[in-house]
Amino acid sequence: MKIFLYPLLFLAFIRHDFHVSITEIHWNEGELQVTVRSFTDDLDWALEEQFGTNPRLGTEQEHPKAMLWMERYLNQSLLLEGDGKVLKGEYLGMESEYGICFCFLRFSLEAKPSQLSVENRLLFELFDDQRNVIHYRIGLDEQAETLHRGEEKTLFTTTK
Amino acid sequence: MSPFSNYLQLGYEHIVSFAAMDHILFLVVLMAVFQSRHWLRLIGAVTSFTLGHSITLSLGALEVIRVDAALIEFLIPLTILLTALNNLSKKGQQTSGRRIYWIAGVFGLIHGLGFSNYYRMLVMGEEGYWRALIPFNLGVELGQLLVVSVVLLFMVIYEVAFNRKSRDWNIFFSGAGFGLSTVMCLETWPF
Repeated sequence: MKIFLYPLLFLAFIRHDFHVSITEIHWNEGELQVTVRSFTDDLDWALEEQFGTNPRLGTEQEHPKAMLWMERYLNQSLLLEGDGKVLKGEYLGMESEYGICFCFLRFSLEAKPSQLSVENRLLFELFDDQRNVIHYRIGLDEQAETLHRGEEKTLFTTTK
Repeated sequence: MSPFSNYLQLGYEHIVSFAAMDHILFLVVLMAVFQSRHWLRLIGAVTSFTLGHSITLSLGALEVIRVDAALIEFLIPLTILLTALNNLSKKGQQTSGRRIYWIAGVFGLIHGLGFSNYYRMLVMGEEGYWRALIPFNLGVELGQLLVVSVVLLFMVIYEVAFNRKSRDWNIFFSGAGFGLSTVMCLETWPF
């Protein structure tokens, strides 16, 4: 009897919650400006898993090392390559409001890349339904891709 | 991919997924009370639901209205529970009236608030609000159209090919919807 009940209960326990992050990449005068926005509680959880303490991002009790942890976490989750060269990101800081975290980064580049490869594994280790949307804007050209587990990298090509 | 196609896909996946079980269940229960030969009325009710949730999806994402997410998570299964009960009532089974359209539309408003949390996350702090709204909504509708078509097809097969009564279909799916939504309501009880 229980065997029949389990699938039903399983369906009922699923909440309509969702896991998504948005990464905006803009080319602007010699650098790629990147904003990553994600749910703060998801990031708290990811940092706690990795560094052992809940950083309580964006609260008054924010852990003093939260900024450093966030930087490390983003460095390992978000990898950019411009024309085949690995780009080094500079973490600028973060803001958290209404439960959503905005992280700001900058990647310096000498010239407009004709190809930009973006790998974003943010939160993939925690949620199998995590979706990471990437928006890339260079001049008037705009492109978007959604990454998920198993498809963690995308290549944007710009003509000219 | 263009941002348009990307938003379209996100909207579609937001409905045709396991996590959207509650919306799919609502549609199944809403449709259960109809006989398949009254498919036009059924489409009318689904359209009414669509109008309802499009309104609150747009307003919710614009932050014109803001409702506690925990409350919405509770209200969504409640709409399923009430629709299932309505399907058993005498008035509820008279699908020729306007009652069912009102129910679908008003409950659509509640479901749209659930979508708007997701949508708000997608467009927050961006200038692309309107640009994303159309493809995202369109994706949701396409996904919903797929769900409705599949369910309607099964209803027709059951009634016509197997020559069974639509009343049995209604009792079965309203009962299933009632049971599942009761557990969901208890699970999400916010008070």
